[in-house]
Amino acid sequence: MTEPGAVKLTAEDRATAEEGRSSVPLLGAINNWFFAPVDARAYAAFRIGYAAATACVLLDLWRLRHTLIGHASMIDNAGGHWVRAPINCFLWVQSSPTGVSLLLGIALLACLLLGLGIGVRLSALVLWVYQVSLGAAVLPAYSGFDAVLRVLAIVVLISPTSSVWTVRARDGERPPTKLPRYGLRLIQWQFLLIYTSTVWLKAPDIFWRSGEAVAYFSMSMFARIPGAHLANWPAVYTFLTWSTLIVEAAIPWLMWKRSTRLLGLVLGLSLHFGISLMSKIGLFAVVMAPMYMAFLEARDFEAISAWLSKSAGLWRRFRISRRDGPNADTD
Amino acid sequence: MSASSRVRPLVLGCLVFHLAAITVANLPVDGAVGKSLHAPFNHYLAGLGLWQRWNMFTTVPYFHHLDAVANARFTDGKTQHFGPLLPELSAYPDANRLHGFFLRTAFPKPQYEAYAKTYGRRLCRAIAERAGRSPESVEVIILADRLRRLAEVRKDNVLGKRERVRMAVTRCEEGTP
Repeated sequence: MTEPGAVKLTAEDRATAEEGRSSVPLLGAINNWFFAPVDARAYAAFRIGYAAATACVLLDLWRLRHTLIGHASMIDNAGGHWVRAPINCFLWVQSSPTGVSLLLGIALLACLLLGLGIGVRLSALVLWVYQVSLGAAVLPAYSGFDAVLRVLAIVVLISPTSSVWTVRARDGERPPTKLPRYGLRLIQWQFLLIYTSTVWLKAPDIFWRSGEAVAYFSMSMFARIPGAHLANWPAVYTFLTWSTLIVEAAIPWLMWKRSTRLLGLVLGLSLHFGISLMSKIGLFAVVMAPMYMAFLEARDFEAISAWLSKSAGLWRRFRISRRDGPNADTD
Repeated sequence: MSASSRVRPLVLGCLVFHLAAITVANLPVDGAVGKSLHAPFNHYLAGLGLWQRWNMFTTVPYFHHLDAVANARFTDGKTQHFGPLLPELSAYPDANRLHGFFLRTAFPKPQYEAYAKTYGRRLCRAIAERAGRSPESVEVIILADRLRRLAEVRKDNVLGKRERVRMAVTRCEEGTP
């Protein structure tokens, strides 16, 4: 009997799995690690999240577009000698402010189409060109959230696609529910690298070690309301500093195992939500959130769906009871 | 042997190479093996836009507040202040990207020196257009409130100490491009 929410294997999937059982066990394991069938909703959730995050960053950039891009801007968009981008579409429009706006408009349109699932491959290609170009063009004004979107752009481009959660999906049509896992694996690995690398780089710093980093951050220009409010609470800022390091170190490992995934999801999203609340770098949370979707499995989607149905039911009952009064049920 | 089973090992090889490349991208280039470890992947990382370094807030921010102003000196000895933001010479806004730009070009590492020079030249041009005459030189002053030590802040709740950081002076030439 199939477990509720589990992915049902077709003959084709079984053939794929058989193919994976190579005479060399290691090769078989690697093959399975990359190509085992997974729920297409994980790809769909990531695609929509990536499109939304890119649109948010793009809208944030919009007001500074002529300050950062073009011959009259503050930056030489040809890029430094240490970034050899394969393409830089901003060089095509440097002399035209309208051209700069048009390019950003095209990227924004690509976000919309990618989110809706229309022309996914072409939209992803446009966004890859845009992200790589931006990486070269605005280097001195580049942010960590730009980098996250850039390194994920190629994964969006080469990941398998389906009609799940797109405007192409028709009511009643049973969408293909399984896709090979390789795209999600690349995202998961990148996710692991981001968190591990940032902890590796932070841990030797004297302020992170002494537990004072969050106190300094809360007084800095990156804080939403810079002030000395934490300065007199050493226990609080030390706890926040060290727990940030511990959580960042733990998240990728917690997300990897199904039994600890919910904890990883809650800790990770809480960390980013907390940073967004305290600071002006909320866009970082927006670009990191879609990566969490890459870890979700069929059972997770079923659980979320059940929870949403239950919440909607409770909300409906609450509204009916408010409309009809407390004795509505007894009538 | 099906077409898919013939292609599969090749695809697997590419995927493993990709994971190795992005992993190595996060390892230090310095050290005994750094350069030789990076060498096989450099073209791949650059070609696909995968260069990366996740060093956000690896130490504490140094400033409580940033502002900047462009000072133009004209041949008659007069000076005039302008907003530092091109193309409109507008005032310094509170935007993270611009904090990054000014911090990187005001305290330039070698890779950002060329950017600071371009910025200076373009400021000359914009000021010449606005003022109707070319300035002799332009200097960008960063007005920064450097964060004080926690022990000092605890005593008087004053977060920062005002510093004036002068970016390199740009000599403007007549008809600067």
